[in-house]
Amino acid sequence: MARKSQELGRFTDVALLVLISLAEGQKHGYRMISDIEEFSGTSLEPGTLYGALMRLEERGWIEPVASAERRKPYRITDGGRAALREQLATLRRVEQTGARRSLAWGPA
Amino acid sequence: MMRAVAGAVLRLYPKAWRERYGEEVADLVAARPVRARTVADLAMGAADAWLHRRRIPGARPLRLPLWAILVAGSYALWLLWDPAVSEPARLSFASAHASEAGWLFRTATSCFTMAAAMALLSPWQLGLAVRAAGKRAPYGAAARTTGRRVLLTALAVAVPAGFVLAAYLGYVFDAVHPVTALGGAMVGGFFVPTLMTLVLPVPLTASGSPVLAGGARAAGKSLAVAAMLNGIAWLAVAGLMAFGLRHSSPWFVTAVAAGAVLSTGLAALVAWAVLRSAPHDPAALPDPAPLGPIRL
Repeated sequence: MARKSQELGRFTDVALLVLISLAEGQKHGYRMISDIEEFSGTSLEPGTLYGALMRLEERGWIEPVASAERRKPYRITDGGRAALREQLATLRRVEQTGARRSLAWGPA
Repeated sequence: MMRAVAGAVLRLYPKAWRERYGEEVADLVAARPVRARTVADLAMGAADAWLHRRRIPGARPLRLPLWAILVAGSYALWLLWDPAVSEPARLSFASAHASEAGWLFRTATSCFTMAAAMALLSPWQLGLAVRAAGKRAPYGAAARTTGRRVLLTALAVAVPAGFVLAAYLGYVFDAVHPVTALGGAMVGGFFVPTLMTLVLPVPLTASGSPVLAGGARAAGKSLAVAAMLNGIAWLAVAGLMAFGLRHSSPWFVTAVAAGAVLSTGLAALVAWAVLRSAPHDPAALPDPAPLGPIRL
């Protein structure tokens, strides 16, 4: 999974944000941008968002939902959920290690 | 204004991407504020989509016609003639390196000459194969039909190939525009891929017939040897440059390096195209479209 995530290149962080956004339920591009801005403070532009969506769809981590509207919604797949769980576990390990090591500095 | 620019940038994306995501992104651009940052992001996205075109869901492989690659590559190669062949006066060799430089010069010119000879040998091999197949029952009639097509193709390419060969021989024997020593060593690198490109239609025409596929494959092998000799000759040119590089300009080195890459690439592509179109098994029908598209 780690290797697969590295293959996402500069889209790794954006892909994680998209997976977190879609973990809540299916969304189209506009709602994803608003949601991501709301929960992470990151303002995504369309070129970056769709670069990440293209890679996530290629890996089978997300899939489009059939819709008659111009705004096509996407949903996370089982593979995408597993990938998200692994990435979040990695982030937790990083956070715990960081917190433990920074405690060694003592109070500021 | 920025929204119109963003719309124009969207048209720069690959067609497969536009078919898949174009409408959604256009809708997003219409619904959100568009700033210079948005336009720059879309432009980077377009470059990324072209670079990673295979990742676009449903994208078919990009197919470029072989002839277009060869014509564009040959044109680019000849654009480098002046900066690569006219500049070598700036190279200077220490007397201690005279014998090595002489050996490398002879290696380069000999390999280029042999490569040109091998390139011209391939239509000759095909002529022999056509003649032999024409006498062989029950394939004689089919072989003669393809043989006529091969002959017509050979006649059509004979004039330009003869012209290129004459120009090359003119440089080899200093009959036209004498060039400096290093220039003389590398002129073959410009003529060999052009000659190979010009003779390419002949084996490709022959490979259309299973009866002549063996002859086409033999011609492909000769072209492969020509491509290898061309590569070896460019290595010798690189050795020559290494000896006299101290006083050469970066532009000259870049021009020669680009020429070497283009020359070896074009020669390899020609050999590969013939070998691919003439399978080992004579019963297997090869690609029916000579000079057709190739998958990149």
